[in-house]
Amino acid sequence: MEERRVGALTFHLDWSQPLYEQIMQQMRQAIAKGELGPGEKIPSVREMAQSLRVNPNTVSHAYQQLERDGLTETRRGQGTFITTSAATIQRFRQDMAQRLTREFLQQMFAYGLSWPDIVQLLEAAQSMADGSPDGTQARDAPRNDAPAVSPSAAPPAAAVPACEEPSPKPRRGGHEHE
Amino acid sequence: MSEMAVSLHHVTKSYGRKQALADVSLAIPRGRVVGILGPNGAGKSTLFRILTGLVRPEAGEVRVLGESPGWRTNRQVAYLPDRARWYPDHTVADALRWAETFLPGFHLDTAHRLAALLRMDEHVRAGQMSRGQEARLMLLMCLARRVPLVVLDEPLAGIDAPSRARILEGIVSVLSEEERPTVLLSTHELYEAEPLLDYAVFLTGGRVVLAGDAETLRRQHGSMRHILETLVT
Repeated sequence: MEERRVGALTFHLDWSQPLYEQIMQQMRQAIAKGELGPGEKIPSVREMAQSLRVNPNTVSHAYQQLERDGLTETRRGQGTFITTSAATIQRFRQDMAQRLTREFLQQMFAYGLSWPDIVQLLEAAQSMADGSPDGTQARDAPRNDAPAVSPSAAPPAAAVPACEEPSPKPRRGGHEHE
Repeated sequence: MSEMAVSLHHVTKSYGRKQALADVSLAIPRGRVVGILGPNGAGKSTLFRILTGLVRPEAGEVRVLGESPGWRTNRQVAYLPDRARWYPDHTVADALRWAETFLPGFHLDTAHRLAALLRMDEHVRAGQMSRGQEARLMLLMCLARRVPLVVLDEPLAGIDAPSRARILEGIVSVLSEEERPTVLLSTHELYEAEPLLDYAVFLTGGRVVLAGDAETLRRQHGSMRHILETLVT
């Protein structure tokens, strides 16, 4: 893993995976997390490529996908900006979350885990995350005095056959090919 | 205008008994940054010398920008030979004046911009430069030419890490120009250079063993460095 900074953004790149997907995904995450706010200008393809020391074709490929996602817009002669529509970002974040959840559940069911198993695992994971709001700072060592957290997002039991739900875009494996 | 920057059709070249290139066929599309990768003696420098008309193959057909390599195509090719040196009494400024007079397509504004990017002191003479400084000067002379094909033979060899990073930034900066050149690049410093590549050709023992789009190769096989290690061992 190579860490490279571009302005306030930090990228973690792995040369053994397609680079455009990594750049695209990490930009999407920065937008979803609000590190890049609505209407904010993002570095030009040239600046990004130069700072990352990555082929400009690769960066421009990632940028095209962000534009297709509706997350960015290019204004002629001014550069590329994050969409000013907070609703678009919110919707994108929601879609991502739903897709990841669906994928997660499909995998768990594929390994024969039951709904109570999954809930239990999530609760254990949450206690490890030590109540950090988004779980991303879950770096603390596991604690013995696991607090009794009630999962606020406990899904209804009826959601068990989630893998049979019609999913809009069935995907192979866990990889993200666009 | 040919769609391919470079094409080779069953090209063979030997030095005495040693076959430097053995029946190489290759087509490199325009506008890509192409890693010519392989261990020492794989035929990389021979390939570059054939593309710049310095060496003639015994058999096969070579096309550079759609023509046979020679003085006509060389006007459109910026070539950095392996271990290139410059006139020791020339300062950077002298070298740039020389280049403006003699190198087709040389663009002085680009050269000054690159000199700043590469943190060159324009008053230092080549004879007093460190290896890294001289290498940056040689690279700058190539990259400041607005030509459709740039051929860089080991531009990072024997150069300290900060200079390597600057050289790579310099290469990226000319790729962002509107008329981006095709760049052919050989290097052993793959870890640093590979994110620049969007096409790769793997040579061992004078043969092409693998070639293709870098992102596809990454997805299928992993990093360029990993592929090279696998092919060599």
